Amino acid sequence: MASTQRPTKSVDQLEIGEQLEPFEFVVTPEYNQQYLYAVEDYHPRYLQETELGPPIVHPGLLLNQSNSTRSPSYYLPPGISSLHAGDEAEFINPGRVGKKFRVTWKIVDKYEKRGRQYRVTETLVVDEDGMEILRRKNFSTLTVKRG
Amino acid sequence: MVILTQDTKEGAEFSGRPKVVSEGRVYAFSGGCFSELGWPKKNVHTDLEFAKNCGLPTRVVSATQYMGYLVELMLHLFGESWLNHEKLNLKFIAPVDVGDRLTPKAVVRSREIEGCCVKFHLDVWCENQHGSKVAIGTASGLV
Repeated sequence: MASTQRPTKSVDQLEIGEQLEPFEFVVTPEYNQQYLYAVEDYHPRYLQETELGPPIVHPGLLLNQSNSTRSPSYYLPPGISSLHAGDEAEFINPGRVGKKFRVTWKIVDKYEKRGRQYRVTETLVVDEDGMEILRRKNFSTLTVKRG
Repeated sequence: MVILTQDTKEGAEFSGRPKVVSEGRVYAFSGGCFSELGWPKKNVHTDLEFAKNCGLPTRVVSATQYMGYLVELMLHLFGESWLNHEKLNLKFIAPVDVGDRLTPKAVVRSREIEGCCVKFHLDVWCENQHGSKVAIGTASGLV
């Protein structure tokens, strides 16, 4: 269950090796179809069962739901936002509609480049059977409101 | 249908369907589940005020939304098996505004024999309606 208390550290203060609180979600057919609309991709693989099992979860849904902003412990102070600068995604297995997925995040690097602070977060999505679905290395930087 | 064949040459270019990242589709992608109370959730993708309070000049489309466009192109080129142990590496080099029209593209950079298959290495990108690249990177896949 998500914590109702604000985390003690904002995400920009997390050090290498620290983890964000995991996030779990279930993909219903309706939720999957919401993403099909969002990305205009209505391929039958996302809508129809096959001999391999239920329809496939659209990868765009898994990418979006595994952004670190989904973590219950993700917090940034007012006036600061995180920008997605890059991504290394490895698609390991297709996710299946009806399954529950668990996302974990770990800070694996922090560095400065051209005056900007960057954070690298390793992300893993597994399904309720423990099958690895998606691994990501997400590169993000911060924007700060001036004045 | 798989588009790439073992005979596909280096330099072959492929383009996905152009898509307008309309307001409704941004809400659907980044606003949370339709059934949640208070949908769409306010964030830098869905709400101008929220974005400005975070130091952004305007709302920005989530990069994972057009990562989805590139994944669609990869599945078109390689087939569904692409979702088994294949990679997509991207840098997001320019912001995408709500209403932009994006096209995912790919070109075969190199190919190598792997057993009875051919491993393709692609340069991939998304470009907007002005022909400017907003995301660039690489992908690989087996045929």
